[in-house]
Amino acid sequence: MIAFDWQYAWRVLPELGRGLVVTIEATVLGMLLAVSFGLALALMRRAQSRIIAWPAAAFVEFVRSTPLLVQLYFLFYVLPDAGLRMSPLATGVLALGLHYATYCSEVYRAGLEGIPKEQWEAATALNLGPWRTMVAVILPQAIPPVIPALGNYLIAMFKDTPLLSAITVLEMLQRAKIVSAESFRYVEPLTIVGLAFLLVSLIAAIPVRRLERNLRTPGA
Amino acid sequence: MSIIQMKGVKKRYGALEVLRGVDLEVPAGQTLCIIGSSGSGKSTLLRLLMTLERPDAGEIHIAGEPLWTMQRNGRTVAAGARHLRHMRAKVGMVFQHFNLFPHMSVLRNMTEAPTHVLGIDAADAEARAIELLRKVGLQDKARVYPAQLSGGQRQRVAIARALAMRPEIMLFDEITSALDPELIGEVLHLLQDLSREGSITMLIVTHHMRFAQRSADRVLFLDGGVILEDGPPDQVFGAPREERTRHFLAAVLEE
Repeated sequence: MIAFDWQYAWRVLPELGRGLVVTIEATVLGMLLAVSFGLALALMRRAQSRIIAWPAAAFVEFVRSTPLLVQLYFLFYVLPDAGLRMSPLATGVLALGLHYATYCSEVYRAGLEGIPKEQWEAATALNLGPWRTMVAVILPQAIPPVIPALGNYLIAMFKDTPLLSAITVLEMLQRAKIVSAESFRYVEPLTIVGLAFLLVSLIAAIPVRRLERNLRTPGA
Repeated sequence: MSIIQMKGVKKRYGALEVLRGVDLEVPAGQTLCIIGSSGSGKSTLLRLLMTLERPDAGEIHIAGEPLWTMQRNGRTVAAGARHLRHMRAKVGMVFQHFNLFPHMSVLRNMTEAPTHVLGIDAADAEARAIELLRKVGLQDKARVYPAQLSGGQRQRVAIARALAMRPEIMLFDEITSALDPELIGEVLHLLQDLSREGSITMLIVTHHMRFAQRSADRVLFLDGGVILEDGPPDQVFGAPREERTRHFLAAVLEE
């Protein structure tokens, strides 16, 4: 039987809490990057010009077929050599954001393909320009249906943040490992980390569902 | 002068030749009904004028300007995006399936293009939209979304939306074909009113022969991608020149 030391658990809680803040920070910033760059990738892949479409497609395929951990190490060790110095957290956010942007771009692509060509034709008949057609007509119809899928990636990304411990980001798991190593007690910190992930995942699902509901068109 | 001129216009989809050399001149203000069986090229003719499709051969002029080509440094080149937008400003289109923007209110459907394309300020665009809604009998539906309207109401909104862009030419592509029979009347009445005003050139692809007979200044019968019959309704319906037209009319009027 493994004994659970409540007093010890209580003592390490603040330190793990600071880690949770970093974890959430990385997730939120990473997701902001992922949903915006993902949309850009999806739009680039649809471009008529191959000079725009092809690099976007290649980037998506390349990033999706290589492990996130390898990408993290690559950015962490190679970018400084290229003269680009960033904090470990910023590097982690960049890696998470780029990685998940490729998945988000596929989600957007499905949403864009779901818009009937009649909507494009109506926009042409009204003489709307390409920008206005995209922003006012196509995206407002393409994005709401894919928000649940984007929400799934938000939670998946959140659960991938412990990988950032590999590049010395002091997120929750990294701090749990440090306090455990000092006291040789692993049960309490790791249990707390697990429960924290569970709790935040469950809570994060609520605003995603609400957003999806709010974006629905009346009467549709 | 003719507002629309088509000369030797051809269009094919793969092996299927949909238009096989169409010559047509339409004077401004005319109401022209286009009849013919499905696949005869009626819709394609309208879609070329709206620049939704590109012709394979021939020339189209709208208000004296070439639609698909332009002059650059004294040479004729394929029309660029700017030229097409300049030309589209003269033309509006209403579709079989309405194609309203489902995420926008009726009012926003009608003000989106006037504010962003014509640069009319929001208050003026709204006032004009309400005025047009009154004209189509839907002034109380401004704040409603398309899904909350009947098919006939949606199509009347679509007509008002196209009119809000003040086109010189309006194209109607089988606009009653997706409607329940009891809703067709309200849309045809509206078309008739518009036609009587006579300020807009109207090209109407329709299966309603009686409507064409009553409202058109001129009727075209399209068959196999060419114009087989072209004349005032009395002549086309009363004394068609071609055997093929007589067969078609006998078949559709039997219904």
